[in-house]
Amino acid sequence: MGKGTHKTLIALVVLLVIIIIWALVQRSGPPSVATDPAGAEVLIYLATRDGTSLVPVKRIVDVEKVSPQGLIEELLKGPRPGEPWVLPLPANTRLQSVAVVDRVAYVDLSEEMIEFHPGGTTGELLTVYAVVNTLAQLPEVELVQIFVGGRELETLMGHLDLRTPLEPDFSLVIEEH
Amino acid sequence: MGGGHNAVLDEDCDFYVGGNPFLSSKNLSGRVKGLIETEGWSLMRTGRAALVLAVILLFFIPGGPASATQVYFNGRALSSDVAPVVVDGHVLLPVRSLASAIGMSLTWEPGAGRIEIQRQDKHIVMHINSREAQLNGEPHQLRAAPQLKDDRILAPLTFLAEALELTMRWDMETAALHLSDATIVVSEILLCEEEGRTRLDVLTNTPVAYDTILLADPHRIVVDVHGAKLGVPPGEQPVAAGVARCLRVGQFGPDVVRVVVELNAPVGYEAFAREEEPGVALLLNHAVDSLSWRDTDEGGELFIVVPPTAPYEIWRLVEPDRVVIDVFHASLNAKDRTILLGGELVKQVRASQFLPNVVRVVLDVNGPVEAKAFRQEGGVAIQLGPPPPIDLELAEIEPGDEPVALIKEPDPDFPSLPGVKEVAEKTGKGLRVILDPGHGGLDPGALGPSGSKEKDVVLDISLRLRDLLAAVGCEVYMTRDEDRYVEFPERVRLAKEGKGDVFLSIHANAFRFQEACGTETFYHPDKQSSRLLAEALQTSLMKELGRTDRGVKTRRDLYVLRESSIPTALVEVAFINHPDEEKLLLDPEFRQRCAQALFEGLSHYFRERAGRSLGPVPEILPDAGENPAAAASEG
Repeated sequence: MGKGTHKTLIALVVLLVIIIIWALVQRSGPPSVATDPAGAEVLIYLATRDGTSLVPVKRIVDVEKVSPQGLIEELLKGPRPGEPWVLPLPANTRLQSVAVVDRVAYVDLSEEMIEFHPGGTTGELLTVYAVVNTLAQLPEVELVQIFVGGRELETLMGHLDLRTPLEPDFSLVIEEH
Repeated sequence: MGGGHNAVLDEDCDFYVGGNPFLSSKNLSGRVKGLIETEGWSLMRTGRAALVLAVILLFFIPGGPASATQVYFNGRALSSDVAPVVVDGHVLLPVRSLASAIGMSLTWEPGAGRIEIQRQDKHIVMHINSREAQLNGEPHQLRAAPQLKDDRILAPLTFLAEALELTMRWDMETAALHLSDATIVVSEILLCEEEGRTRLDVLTNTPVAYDTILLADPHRIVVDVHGAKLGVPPGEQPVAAGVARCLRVGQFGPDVVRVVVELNAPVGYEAFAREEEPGVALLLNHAVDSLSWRDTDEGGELFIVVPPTAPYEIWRLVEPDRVVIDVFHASLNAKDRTILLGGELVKQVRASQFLPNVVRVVLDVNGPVEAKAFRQEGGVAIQLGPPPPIDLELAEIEPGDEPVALIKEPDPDFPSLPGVKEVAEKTGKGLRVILDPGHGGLDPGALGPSGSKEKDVVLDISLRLRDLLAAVGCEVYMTRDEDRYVEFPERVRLAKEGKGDVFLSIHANAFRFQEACGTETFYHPDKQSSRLLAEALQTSLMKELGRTDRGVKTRRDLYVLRESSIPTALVEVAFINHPDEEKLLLDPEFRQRCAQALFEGLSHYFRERAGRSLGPVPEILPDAGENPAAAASEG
């Protein structure tokens, strides 16, 4: 009993210390995205039901999903049951592709983005900045340009100028409470 | 155990929850057991058990606001009193609030604990704490007994829905419960060819109301089936049927099924209610893709590229001499619509969309000619030669072989408008206002729940405002004064060149959810005058309309605000997708009040900015019969 148990105990303690150190190292990654072995904390931007604001909502995703593609996919999943927020994009929108070149994310969404969009300046603003703000939390993304069906857009619904990449807009954002 | 994403409920309930990221076995606490009522759960039959279960779990998430569940009846949000509650593991609805909301009579005998409900031909009797119920006299066993809690009568949701024949749909994404009366279901969508034309059939179980819209870039026909649910899987499917290349289907809002046909060419269509079985059908036009001319020994040959089944007719017009070819069920898709020839026989060839479904090709000829038309592979050839010895029988002369849609160049010189009543004091003389009604033509803007279009209501408000401004002597220029599509650069051309004192863009707002309502005004933060303008307009709109004040907001990214170099504001007078505000926007009296409020806002701005007042709102009656709904265009 005695000696064997001791060795096992020491081995366990050493293993625990290694795990803790590893976890701490993992935590000191990019400031905007917290990571740990179980997953990384990211934000997706949903909207309030009355369409007044965007709300940053926390999600834990696999570390490899902390990417432009992973974030948009997470955004498109929308709110979870019980969350009072809503997805400000047409629910059937699909991600076609996303690429980052020179700190600009070019995100291409499916035609449903336009065809199932209700319109309105408010609707358009919240749709566009839900995507832009979500992507711009990545350290490698400063600006975002939205494409639909592979086409560059002059506008999505007739209000916003989408000919050039956009900066994230935090004036639309309220904090989750 | 251990974070698995699959869970099987208690054996009493044989529902299997698979692959739902929101669920893990630890969420399924003992409280959930016995929760699910198997009877009458209409969604269960459609195999969406996982979805329903997840929604049920909404009530069990610690700290999760159960009151966030909004209940809708026939697309209208009900008061929060009707939110479902979970009592002892059963989903129950407060009956009293529900009764007034959906129009059923409720008789409550507190002594006997007896609940009696009558709605149309449905009669329900239930008792508090008893699972015995009666539906139209027939005994019915409830899965959960009605309860009295905090003086509220609570009855099982699924039984009520089943007994009253309401359709029940949980919307996961918005944590909403949709109840509706009728069950219009889009059961099948078919694309086929009929006599060479592409035909779309949207099959439903009962006759339906529908709308169609033609959109550009890429060319698409949108079919909205109102009050309907999707009975086929949503999604996208490439197709190869005539001019159609892709078909997309989805639920657009709680009670509209939207079908989108993407086209290779911008063709028109006829939409009609199906006769044999209920539903909507669209027959798409043939596309006339191009025209070409070649000289021949006899004279020349015109070739019209069009599908082989497109019917056509050739005939003549005189004084001056012309040969006319009409292609029926056709839309003109040719880029070059005029061929200048200047030849001995033919001066020029012109093609136009003569009627929505007729393409007319006109050959201007020098005197009588012989013209023969026949089908060739890929189209129709028209051979022209010198006149035959005997004249062809002359066809009836018809006026109007001109293109139907002439693109009007806006007049930059601010013409004074005819037909406006003169007022003694021209208080607005010398002030130049550019009014910009949003959207138009192919771009309907936002849509209201009853099918109203933003482009129509904002045009009407703008025309009313134009009349008010013109009556006090302002020079008014409109970026559009009819239902037509205006490109962004054209909208802002004058404002960009600094021509004008004020640029006012008039819109109606929308959001995906019907909770959004009210009035807001946008301006560019770099422009102080624009701020003054926006604040004056918003203040005046709030005073006159009294809708929710969403405030004055700065935006750098709105196209017209960014490009304009004169004081500019964009107003969103109300939310057209909000049922109450749509009703208001469809009311001419409300639109007149919008115009008056904007007039007063402008008046305030000119007073502050230029020491000028427009004076009181002039009393002019706008033209009767200006009904924006009637002005809706069919592509």
